[in-house]
Amino acid sequence: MPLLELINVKKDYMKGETVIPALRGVDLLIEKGDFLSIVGPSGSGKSTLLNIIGCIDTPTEGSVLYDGTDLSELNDKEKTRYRKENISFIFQSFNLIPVLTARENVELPLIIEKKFNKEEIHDKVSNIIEIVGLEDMADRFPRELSGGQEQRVAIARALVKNPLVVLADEPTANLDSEMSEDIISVMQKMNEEIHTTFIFSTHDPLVQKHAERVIILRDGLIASDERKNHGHAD
Amino acid sequence: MSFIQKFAFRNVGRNKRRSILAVISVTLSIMLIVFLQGFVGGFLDNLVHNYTKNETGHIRIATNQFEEKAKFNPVTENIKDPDRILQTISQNEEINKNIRIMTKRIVFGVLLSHDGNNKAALAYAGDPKKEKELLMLNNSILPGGRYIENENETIIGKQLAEDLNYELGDEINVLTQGSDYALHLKKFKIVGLFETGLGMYDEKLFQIPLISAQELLRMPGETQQIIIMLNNYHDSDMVAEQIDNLLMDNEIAVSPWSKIGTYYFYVEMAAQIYGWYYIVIAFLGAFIIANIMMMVVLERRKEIGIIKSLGFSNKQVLSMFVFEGMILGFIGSIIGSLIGVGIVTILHYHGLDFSKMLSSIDMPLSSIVYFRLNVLNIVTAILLGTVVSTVISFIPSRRAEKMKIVDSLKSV
Ligand SMILES: Nc1ncnc2c1ncn2[C@@H]1O[C@H](COP(=O)(O)OP(=O)(O)O)[C@@H](O)[C@H]1O
Ligand SMILES: [Mg+2]
Repeated sequence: MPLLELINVKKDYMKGETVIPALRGVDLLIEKGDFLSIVGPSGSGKSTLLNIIGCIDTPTEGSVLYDGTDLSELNDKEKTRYRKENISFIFQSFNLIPVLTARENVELPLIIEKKFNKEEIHDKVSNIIEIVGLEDMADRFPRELSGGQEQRVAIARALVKNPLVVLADEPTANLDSEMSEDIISVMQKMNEEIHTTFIFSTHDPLVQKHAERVIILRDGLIASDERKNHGHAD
Repeated sequence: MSFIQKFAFRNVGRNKRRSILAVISVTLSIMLIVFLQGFVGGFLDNLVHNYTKNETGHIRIATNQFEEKAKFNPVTENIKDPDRILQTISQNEEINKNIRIMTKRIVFGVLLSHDGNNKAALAYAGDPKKEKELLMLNNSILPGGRYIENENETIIGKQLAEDLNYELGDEINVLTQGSDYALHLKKFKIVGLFETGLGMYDEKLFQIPLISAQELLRMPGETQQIIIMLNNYHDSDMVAEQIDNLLMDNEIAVSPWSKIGTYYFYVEMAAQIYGWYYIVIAFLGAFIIANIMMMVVLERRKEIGIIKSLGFSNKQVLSMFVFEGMILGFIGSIIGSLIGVGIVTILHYHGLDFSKMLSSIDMPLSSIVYFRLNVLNIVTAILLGTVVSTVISFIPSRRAEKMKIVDSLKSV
């Protein structure tokens, strides 16, 4: 069974009287461990698609199945739990809570989960901070970090609870190309090592070339879905 | 400290100027409340003090028959053996330690006539020494006169004297019914005129020695009332009951001032009305918190979206903001009450002079109001400020709670 299955997902927004179709019937299967990039020009529906998968937005029509469960059948509490247990988000910018240090930001998902004691949280957080290469920055506040460092913290925070799926909406949009490649390679490393499923949107060709699978979205429809078979050769 | 609390504390420190503004608004309102509590309390204490010392005492002992007709001041329903009662009470240490002054007093109405003028007047007969601490007319004697020193002397209200064409040194004829129901006459020499500024005294009252009144009224050794002043008038009910149990006399009524007439009712009502004022003032102070919190919530929309997407429940988001409002309210309340207590403490010892404002009020009041200093009031003010701020923070916090994640994420 695929991890995620989107069946004829449509999403309309209303702007006054006019209907804006953001997604016009998307069918998509996502397997566990996918490293998938959604590419498309601005306004093509990338964010809308990610939000619907992450269950923070609902489709106007069609359904999203997670592990066979239809997300539209969940109530608010169950949706919160679904997100808490399975999904992590990384946004384009302003991901971090400004009054919390890098370390505290990364701790957040574990504190909310209430599954671990203080020591376990500390170990897990230290570990992930090391993986993203921010040991020296852990006690800094977001305003004391560069854009790239902030996104690394956001990745660490997304990964610390070991989610099944990480949804990243243009995570490199505000970074220069060097930093962008850097961020993507961190994500790639996590994907290879712990098989976290990554779904990220971008309109940056540099970033896109790292993805194993590239979906091109145009006007709310999937224009192409290519799986590179480079895995071992690259 | 839970994570949510830590988060809220950090957020309070985030925009210092705005937090300070919120705190100041609560500080000011709580300061005002503590000040008003001190003033109103002091004012009521002042009213009660003056009323009781002139009228009923904190506790009045009289016969049951007198109590029934008290407003007519009858001189026919007297305590036969007041000295035995005084002795019994002063020998009881438990009761005596609460008592400041205990004295006999006879009050009766007479019609005074002179030079063809008639005036209804009220005679106050007591121990001249003790009345210096009760009626205190010795403080209001006009130049040329003096206070009562001997039998058959009187001091008389200035207006009353004028109305009757009396002058210092004249003798007044007091013709009245005695305890034997017969009419008796006695002359009193005017040794002083007094002017208290209060019409109710200056126009009506004259003071004579108890012993002369006993002679006039044919009631030697007897008294109409025993007036007791306590160290603290709030103990009146308790001490009255103790005395009643001690005396065990069915003929004698021991009444705390709160059970005599309607005065207590008005004092209580005033205290309650001000209680409502305090709540209103607290809400006004907290209203600014609500506004500031509303700005805060709108400003942090994106952040609210992020923490919700991390799995924060709506309830947790709500409690985070409510807690933030509570912190602001608590800090403001503490500072406000500290400053307020400082001011009230000074005015508790030094008093505030209201003579200009009070001169037009025809009520027995001392012109200097000593503010009431009460720990319970201060605790109430802090609680009030904190609770009201917390409650009012629910309004903006609900807004944060209800925000949809997608909508808040889209706002940058
Ligand atoms: N809340 C909204 N209200 C109205 N229209 C919206 C809203 N969100 C997105 N849209 C529209 O939906 C389309 C897709 O938007 P989006 O998913 O953000 O695209 P992308 O992320 O690829 O730039 C765009 O035309 C956008 O204007
Ligand atoms: Mg977008």
